[in-house]
Amino acid sequence: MATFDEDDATREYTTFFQFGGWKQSKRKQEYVKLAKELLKERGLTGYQGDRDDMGVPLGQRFIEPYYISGTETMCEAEDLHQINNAAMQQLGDDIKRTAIAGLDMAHKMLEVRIGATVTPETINRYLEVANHTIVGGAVAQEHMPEINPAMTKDASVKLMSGNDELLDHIDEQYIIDIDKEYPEKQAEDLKEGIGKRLFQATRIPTIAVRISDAGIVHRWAANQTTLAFITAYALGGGAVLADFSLTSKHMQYVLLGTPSWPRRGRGPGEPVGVPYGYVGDFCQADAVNEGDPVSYCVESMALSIYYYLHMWVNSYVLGGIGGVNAGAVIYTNNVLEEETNYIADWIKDRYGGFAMAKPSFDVIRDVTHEMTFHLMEEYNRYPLLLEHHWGGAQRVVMLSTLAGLSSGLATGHSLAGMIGYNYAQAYLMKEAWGRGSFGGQDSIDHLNLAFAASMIPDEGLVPEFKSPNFSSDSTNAITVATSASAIVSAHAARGDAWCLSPVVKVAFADSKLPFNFKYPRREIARGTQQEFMPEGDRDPIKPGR
Amino acid sequence: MIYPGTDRVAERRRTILDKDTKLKRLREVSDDDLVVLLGHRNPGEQYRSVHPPLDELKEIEDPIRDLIEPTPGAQSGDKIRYIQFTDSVHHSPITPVFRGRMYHTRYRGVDTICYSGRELMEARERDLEKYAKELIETEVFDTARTAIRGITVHGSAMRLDEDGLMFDARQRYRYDRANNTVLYTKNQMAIPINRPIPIGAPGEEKDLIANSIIYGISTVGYRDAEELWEVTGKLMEENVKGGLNPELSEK
Repeated sequence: MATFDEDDATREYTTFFQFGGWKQSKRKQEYVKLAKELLKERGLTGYQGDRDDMGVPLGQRFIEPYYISGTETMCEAEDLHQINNAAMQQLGDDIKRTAIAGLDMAHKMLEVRIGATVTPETINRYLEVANHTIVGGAVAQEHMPEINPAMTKDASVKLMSGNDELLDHIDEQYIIDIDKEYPEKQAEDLKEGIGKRLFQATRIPTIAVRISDAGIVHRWAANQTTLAFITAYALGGGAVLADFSLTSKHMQYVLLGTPSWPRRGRGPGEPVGVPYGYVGDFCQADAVNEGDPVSYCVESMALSIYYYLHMWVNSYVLGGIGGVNAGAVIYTNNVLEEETNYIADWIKDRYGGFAMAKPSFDVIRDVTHEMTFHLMEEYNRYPLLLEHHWGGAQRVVMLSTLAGLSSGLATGHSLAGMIGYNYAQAYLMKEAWGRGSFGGQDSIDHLNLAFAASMIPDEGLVPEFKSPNFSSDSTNAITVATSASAIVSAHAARGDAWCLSPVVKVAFADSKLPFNFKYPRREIARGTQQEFMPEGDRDPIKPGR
Repeated sequence: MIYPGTDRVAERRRTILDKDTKLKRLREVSDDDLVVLLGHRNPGEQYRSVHPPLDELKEIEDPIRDLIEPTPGAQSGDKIRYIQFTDSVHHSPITPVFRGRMYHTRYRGVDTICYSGRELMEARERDLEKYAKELIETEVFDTARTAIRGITVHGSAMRLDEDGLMFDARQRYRYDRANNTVLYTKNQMAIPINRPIPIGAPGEEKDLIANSIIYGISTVGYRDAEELWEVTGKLMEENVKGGLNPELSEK
């Protein structure tokens, strides 16, 4: 526990009230100074973290810095808030602004209904036009106001397919090259999974989702790429064009996330409706950690936390200061790594390897008990670790994530992982310690055990398809944060090339994306140091440029 | 009272939850001191009410009224007030989950919610004062490991301070070495009070561990609570099966 600057993590007693209050934090000092300048500028009081009478006096105990696991980065807690971390924002934006659509039906329509010929040359022409229209270029009417290309420079339209013969004839700037992005076996499996089908991964500009939300993505992508078809294939006419537009815009559209129910009020593609199975597909750490399921699992869990906890719970559900600490335990100070490595070794000894245990309630009990008891014993041995994970939400997210990972790794079965995940929350921590998490948290865990194998709407689904979009789950920071642990671990244990969709997997392999999904923690660490360059800023249209 | 297990932690849990077992009184807090600590009214001040006494109200007919006698606070129309306790992980005599369960078995007319370090109790004011007095004066309260906190409740998982007290960022209390007692200088909402209130000496570590209801390395090991995990494991399995198809559940 180097972050505490203490050499004995087993010590049970310490001292408080002597660390210098808020001044022990460089960030808080910066904020206080900045706020005083802002007061003069705004003529309105704002942040006053130096005031002892604004609630609890800050910094009564040691303000612990955070080490981002898997990197060499230390930062302050403030750097992990999604508003303060540009990388975290870009992660959310890059997922939101992704529109995936199949091209095969559109091509068939062109050939059969319209009589056009689709060749590699025409596809290249289409892609050239599409990459003009997607950034806001006009193609049909001369007096259409166009968009400043510097505002939309991160938009793109690229192809994905397992059809190497076709892709050999496509301009490589327009391809997400599976062979280049993945190890050989994974690339083969992904190409087989996608088959000869042709998909396009469209990224609308980040600025578009920052001034609206993910609901715009399907429309923006559909309108602009259809305009590109019209231009590339010289399409005209009424009914024919209407039929074609419907086909190209909607018929093979891959909806990343379902809209929320009305009271929550979110459109398609927002984190609430994105299935947990896609977490393992967004995360590309398996492409750079071949044969190392543990590394892939812990990177995926970090991504899951950024996406569902920071982006959904902290931003959409809570707002404001949110609950950064609860999620930070998953990607800081190496705790998740060490514990996952422990249970991985235990599973290998016990069952002879990953995905070797036939899923059963006995196996779920066996693995979940071992993982949970081991971690709780660690908390007992090291009071400093307990102090580091000072809130129940922090401990329960750690326990349940590890329970999900361990049951998934042992069985290779996502439902087994999901049952273990909820079992640890609903019963094990609560009965061992007599403590819950945050208020009302544990009712959902009990519900989710009963819903585990249900396919009734509002209750359950195959775990890969579950998401926070269940009314009982949506506000539960713990349930939504890392339920994906059950799925990622199961597929990693089986050596699968993807979790839910090979197309989604490949779409996020694009190394030109601002956020590199191969290294989620490294990217967030860059964000903490303000070294990550996001897209979607308004610099090109701001004064002084 | 039913709770699985034959070890001392399970036995202790059964004792606490059993409403017929009288909690051992360890200290005395005067009525006035209690009122000051709660901070809802001044000593001697009348209870505030939200409705006239039930005797003076003409209520709609409801068979439940014939079955359940109103608590004194409800009978008088008292406002609903709260007390909240934070329990250290380092062997506070009770924990939030078991507080919640105990509140339901021992007290009437209460509402409660369980967190990781704290448990809120809401009740009509005179009922609340009666319950709070028992909760502070008896064996379910240790003056160093249990705290009365309406706000800024964290600290339950921190290491203990040099005097063995649970951390409180609002410093509502301090240890009085000369008199071996814990002194509250602020009420549960951390508002300073006009005189310190002594609530007694912290318990001995060995006694706290001996009476702990928390499983773990220093009490009864997690893995040794076999009967408990047999029960939870069965509940898990039956929950999953029952949710899929009630016919699959064991009758």
